[in-house]
Amino acid sequence: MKKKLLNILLAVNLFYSCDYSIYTTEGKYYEQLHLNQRYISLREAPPASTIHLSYQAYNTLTDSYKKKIQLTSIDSSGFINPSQNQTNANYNIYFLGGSTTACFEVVDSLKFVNLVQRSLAMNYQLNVNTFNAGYPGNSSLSSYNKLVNVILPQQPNMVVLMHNFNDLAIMLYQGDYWSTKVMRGKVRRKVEILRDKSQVAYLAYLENKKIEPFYKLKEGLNGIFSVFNSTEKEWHNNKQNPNEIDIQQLESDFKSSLITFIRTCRIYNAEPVLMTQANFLIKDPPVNSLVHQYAKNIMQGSGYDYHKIQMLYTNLNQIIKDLANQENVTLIDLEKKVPKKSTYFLDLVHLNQRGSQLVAEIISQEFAKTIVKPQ
Amino acid sequence: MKSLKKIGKLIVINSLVLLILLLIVEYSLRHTNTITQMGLQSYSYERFIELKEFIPAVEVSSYSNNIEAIELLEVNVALPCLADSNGLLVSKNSVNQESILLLGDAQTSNLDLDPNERIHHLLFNKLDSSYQIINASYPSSDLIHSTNKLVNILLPMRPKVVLINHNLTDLLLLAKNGSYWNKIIGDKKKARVSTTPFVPNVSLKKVEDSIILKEYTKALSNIGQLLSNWHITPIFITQAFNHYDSLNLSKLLQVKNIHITNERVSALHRKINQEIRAICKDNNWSIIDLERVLNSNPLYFNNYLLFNSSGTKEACQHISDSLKRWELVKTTEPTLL
Repeated sequence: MKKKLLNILLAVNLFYSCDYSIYTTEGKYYEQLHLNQRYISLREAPPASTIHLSYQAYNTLTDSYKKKIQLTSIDSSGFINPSQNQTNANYNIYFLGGSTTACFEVVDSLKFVNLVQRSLAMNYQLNVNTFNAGYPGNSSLSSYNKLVNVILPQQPNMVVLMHNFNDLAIMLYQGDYWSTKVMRGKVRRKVEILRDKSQVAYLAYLENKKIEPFYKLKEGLNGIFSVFNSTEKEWHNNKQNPNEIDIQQLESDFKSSLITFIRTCRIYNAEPVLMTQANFLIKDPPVNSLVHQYAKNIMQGSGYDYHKIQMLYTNLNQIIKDLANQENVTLIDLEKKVPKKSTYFLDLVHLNQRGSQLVAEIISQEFAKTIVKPQ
Repeated sequence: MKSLKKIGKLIVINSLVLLILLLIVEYSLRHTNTITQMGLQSYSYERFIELKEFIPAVEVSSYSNNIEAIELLEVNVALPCLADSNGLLVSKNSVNQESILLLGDAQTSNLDLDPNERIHHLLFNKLDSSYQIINASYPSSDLIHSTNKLVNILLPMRPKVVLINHNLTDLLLLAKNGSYWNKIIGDKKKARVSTTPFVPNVSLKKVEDSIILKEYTKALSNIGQLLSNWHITPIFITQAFNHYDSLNLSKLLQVKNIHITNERVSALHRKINQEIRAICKDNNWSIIDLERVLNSNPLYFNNYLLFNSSGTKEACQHISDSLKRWELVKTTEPTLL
């Protein structure tokens, strides 16, 4: 037993020694040249991959979720499967957003983006293709990157945007969209140190050429250790002083970001659609609600209380509505149409299976009015 | 003693096994282009957007033989050329902490000139050190590159004014591809390479003028709208061009494998400048018409596109006069026109 333990300890030790030596020798050389070459993070699931999502947190906090791991497959263009189902469709709808759009928590066939396509075909005889370009942690500016560099070349007919919570969280904690103190939803290597105020990543030379099983093993080991650290630490350790946040600037930037999305879509002949974010952020949550208690605990340490966040969140949804009205853009008011009940949510903003089905129904009904059926 | 020997053995065996494994995997990853679908989230395939910028805080002379270096060598970089920690060429800090931004291709980056003769230094002096001039241009950078750079690096600087000078690079790209993007975005091998706008694998036979102008107009309108939406004043510059240097232009077209005549390039260049004027008029955006002031005067050019020091001085004078005339900048001296 002792021998085995010693063996394991030695292996781990050697493993980290190797890692260190690679970065101090090869890393130093490339730091001077290639490692400093920067690229903009596209913030998407790697094409042709499968995402494994573990739900340990949800199991302890909600009643509605039982499954531990959810798989999501990604197509070769970086969209969540199934995409481009309708081979004879000549109308393409792209959905942009964060994790609430990606719906990694729900099985592929029941993600609302996929259900919209099926519902439009079955109930309204509309052959369209829907593409899910959502990715956890994305803000509206990350989605803009995806719009310009991935979606516009595909000449979309319609682009749907749903952003709120990530934009709010990023700006509240970082001060603006560009600071890079918090690495949302990304595993970063030390060679990818971000500098200055930008969304730009130093694309590690080794990132592309890295020793994959070695990397995976290390990530696995790190994962075991990180179980003891709660995820909210990422935020707590890096938060901006709440007094330094200019809420007016925050809301103005959110608005600018949305207008930019709308106008770019129009210039490229795509119809922009805005959606408010469905949520379970109720004003006076019941004391025994685990979801709300968990959220309150996270927020307490951040310098913002639950009610302040709820107010700011509601303001951003209101900005979406006002802007849709002002710019004459189709609005799908999910906040209003999805009841704020635990039946539809896994936590404050993430939909469960039933929530996803309801959202799909609401969107399909709206699209049935806007999309003109080909004669 | 025995146990020490055993530990020593274990260390040696473990390290040998690890070393062999690392070497095998490293070798296979570096020497094969085939990508197998692994069924797991693989970071190797993660895509990134190309950012046309100088490698932050690295001398251009120390670039290795990569694409960036080749692109820069085309314009005979005058040494030294060192970007700041954000990949930008900047003037000194201004008195009032406000900045003016320059976006464009090789003509705006002025790499073949002495650092003190480059446009951002001259403009800084012309505006009496009142504004920091940030030169975010880069050779072979087009409007989509500039849009990406704006959104991800430059917007947080909240510049007062952004000057945009794009024409020839966009023209040549569109004449070759018909689009700013490659159509084969879904290709797994290309996805690994990570760049957008993508370099196409198949060049089109002939791209109509109307397509080139349409795509250019969209990209230009988009960047103008983007800046307006973020409360930044866009100012567009028509690009001056030396239509007499057909020899160097032919060489460039040959190197870039673009099947288009010099005459068509000249004609399209004029049309694009005309398009810039029309868009600015429609959107009520300011325009600095460098084409009308400097066009085809060999005294101002090093080749078909790049200004010499006289050309840069003249361009700077015209830009600073325009900025002062429109009262977009406030300097310590009264405006002299």
